[in-house]
Amino acid sequence: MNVVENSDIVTITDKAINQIIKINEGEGAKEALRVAVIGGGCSGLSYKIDFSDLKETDNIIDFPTFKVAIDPKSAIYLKGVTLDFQDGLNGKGFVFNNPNAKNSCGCGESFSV
Amino acid sequence: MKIIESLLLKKSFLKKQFDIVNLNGPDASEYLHRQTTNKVVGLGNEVFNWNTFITLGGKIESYFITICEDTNLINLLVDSEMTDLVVERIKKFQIIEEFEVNVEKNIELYFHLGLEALSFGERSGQLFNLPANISFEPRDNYDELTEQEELFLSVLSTQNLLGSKLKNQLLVNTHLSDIGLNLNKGCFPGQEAISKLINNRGASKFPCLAFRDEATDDTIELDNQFFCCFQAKREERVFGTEVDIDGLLFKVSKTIIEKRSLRQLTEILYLKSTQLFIESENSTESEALLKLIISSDPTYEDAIESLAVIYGRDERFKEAIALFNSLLDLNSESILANTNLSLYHMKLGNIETAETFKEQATTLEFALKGQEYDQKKIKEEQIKQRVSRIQMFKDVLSLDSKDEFAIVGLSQIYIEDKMFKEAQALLSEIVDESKSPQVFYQYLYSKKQSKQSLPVDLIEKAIVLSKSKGDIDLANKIASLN
Repeated sequence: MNVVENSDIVTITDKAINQIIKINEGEGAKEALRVAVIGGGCSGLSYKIDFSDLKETDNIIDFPTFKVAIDPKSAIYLKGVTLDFQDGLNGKGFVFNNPNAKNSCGCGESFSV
Repeated sequence: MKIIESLLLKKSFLKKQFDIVNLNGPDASEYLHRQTTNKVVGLGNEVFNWNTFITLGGKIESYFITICEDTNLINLLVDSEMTDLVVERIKKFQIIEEFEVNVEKNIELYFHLGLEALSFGERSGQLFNLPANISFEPRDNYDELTEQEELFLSVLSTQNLLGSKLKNQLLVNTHLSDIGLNLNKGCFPGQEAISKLINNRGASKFPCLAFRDEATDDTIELDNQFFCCFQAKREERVFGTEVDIDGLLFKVSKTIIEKRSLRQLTEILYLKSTQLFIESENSTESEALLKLIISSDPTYEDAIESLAVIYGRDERFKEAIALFNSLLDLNSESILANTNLSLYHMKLGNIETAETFKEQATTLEFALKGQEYDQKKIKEEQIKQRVSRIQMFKDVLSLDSKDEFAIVGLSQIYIEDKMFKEAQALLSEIVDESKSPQVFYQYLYSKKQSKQSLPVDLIEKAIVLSKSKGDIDLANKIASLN
């Protein structure tokens, strides 16, 4: 596993970190939050986040209470992305801000680079 | 020497004590195929392989490199010391087969090492567990391998096939059993002896790596330890075992340059290329590495996709499209290839083509969702079966709390579910009295995963038990826990 700094691939904001900790407690504390890219969504590519176990080839961002795992191929798509959490009445939950995205859809769940 | 460095080695060396024995005629390849230990028929000219003539008792008479130049012309590259033996053996059994045997003496043979050597398109294979290519002319941009480096590679890979030193050894006791033997290709003289040896207890002696803290005349230095290669007996082939070599104590080590498949080799470089992309300001280095990977291993889909995405990020859409098209040739159901092709064609204004790829991506995505639903159902069924298995083992344990079969079965489920403390608690009931090395292994593994220290006496007992049952693989797994 390749341990990287927060911001080398994705930057995770404090708000998102707090929310991940909250959710992970309810998930039976899996090893890591996995961030990946899959095909789909109205702009072509979608972000995928879920909790899962670590794999040998993952890039790891190590936080005191949890780890973020990004597989090598998704890292190519995700480099430069910020993961934020927007709460409140108008909040959208987890939001990816991608400076490389040439298009993003209205809900922010899909993008193209 | 780090594995990445050795993969990128780009070193050549010249061997002058080789002869070419060529067999020219319509029956050449079939005849050799029936006489030698490795495959000859179907071996294209893009690869070379190691091959041997053995005695009926399974001992190596001679060994060589086989190259099929075309269907009628087979070249055997033979160390000069064994050329007469090879020619004599070929002629001994040639009755009605049509081919001529000729010898070219003292040819210059260049071995080129490193992953790039696999992209030359002909005569590729492996030497010292590294990708290798053979040519009869030097190649540009390759440094000369020094004698010291050659020694280093042969010791650290425990694989030295150059020269004639393996002559008269049992084939199963040498690395030629890994790379010069094919038991699926049909009969050859000596096959019965080899099969019996393999099916019995395998190699009685095999080349292993050992190290100590102080140098001797025969050791090489790596990270302040001194290594040598030796023929280890069966019971010695457990990592960490102390062995006496010429009156000096060494410890058995894992091989440092391990045997790897092409995909295993390119995977190492692929991970390196993604790390370079993450860490660098620009993508020049990762691009170069990805190109090298694709030229050596053209079916590596992740490498093709990653390079295409890097091109896409740089708005080099035509290059990205060409790569994604090649990816679709390998896997027409790649959702990401179809999606990205749709996006890049859109950028270039090819709206109709973009729509076609988008439709295909959407269809594939729906099909995938269907498969995921089916898998979810299968998983639910597996969970039900697991619950019933757990209950079955618990029922047995309620009648006999030390039933070894139930404890091993239940702890195996706990280990799969990463419930190591529960597995350890169960196994601790029987570990002191058990005669099963598997019980010891599961117990020690659970303890290690629970980040507890491992009792040395228990490890030693488990290794002795595994060795006594002839299970060297398990003995090594137990030794590796420490």
